[in-house]
Amino acid sequence: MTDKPPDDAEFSDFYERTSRSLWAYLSRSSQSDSAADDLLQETYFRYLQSRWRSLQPAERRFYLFRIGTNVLHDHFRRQRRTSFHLGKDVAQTTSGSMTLKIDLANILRNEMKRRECQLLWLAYAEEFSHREIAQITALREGSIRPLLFRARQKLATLLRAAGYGRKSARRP
Amino acid sequence: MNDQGKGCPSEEQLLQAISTDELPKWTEHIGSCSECQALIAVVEAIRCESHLAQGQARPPSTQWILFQADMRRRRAAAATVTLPLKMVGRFAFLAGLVVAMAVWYSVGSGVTSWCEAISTGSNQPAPVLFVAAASVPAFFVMALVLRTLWAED
Repeated sequence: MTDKPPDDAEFSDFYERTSRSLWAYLSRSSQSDSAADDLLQETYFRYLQSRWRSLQPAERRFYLFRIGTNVLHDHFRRQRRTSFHLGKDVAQTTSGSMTLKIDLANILRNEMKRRECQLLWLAYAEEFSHREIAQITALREGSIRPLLFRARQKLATLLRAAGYGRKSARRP
Repeated sequence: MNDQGKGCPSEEQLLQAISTDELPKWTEHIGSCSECQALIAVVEAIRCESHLAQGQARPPSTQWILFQADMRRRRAAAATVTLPLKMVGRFAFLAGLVVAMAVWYSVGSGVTSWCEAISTGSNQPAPVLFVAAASVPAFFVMALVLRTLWAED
């Protein structure tokens, strides 16, 4: 195996650590797995064109998600401009015994607004702080808490309606 | 979790407790607090979904991303280099058009008078014609020089 240049190795490590979680975020926020594939590549292309080397390693993940969110917004704008909406994907799983998971994914895709999914995902899956979420989504820091609260209550109601209690929502 | 004096832990405390499996510490409170129950249900659901989605992800290899990014960078650089050339070409075309119009008006609209003026050696339209004739190779030379300079970059 050939040695990679230091920058490539650094990027490779970062890519291995972040690509799956970024894809998950893009997929659930765009509500389409196929769109997420393209958006993922576009995000990393833009990241590589930026001055990522000058950032502290701790800031890079935040910066990547910020770029990803911009790419996502561009994607939504393009969709609006062309007035061509692809149907939302139906969430697929590999196992046949995963009705709970399919329902949960479809609740996120069909019942929640994109922004709500985005906020919930950044806060609870990626565990960004409210300040970071505000910077990523270009919202005011003060409005994150109420928006998150409303999105959380809405999802909790939907989960209850779908018959999920605390125990059923837990990962098997 | 809220500020209504119900003795709820803060959102951060609860998230920390979920992550570190210290939730039993708050069991009694959570049992009687619908807001904390909602938060926990949502956080667990989202994390479960995140775990599943990450399992579905099939990101391309790092090498492919780096290669494509490099190709894109080269294409962008090529576009940057050729942009001034295109501008010079458009400018040359417009300048040629303006010169041609100027010649047309200075000589008069009659084609015969123009040809006659050249054949009789009248020196009235000659300078304008020379400018028009010389401008074309001049712009060619300029475009070539610029192309050579920028191609080296």
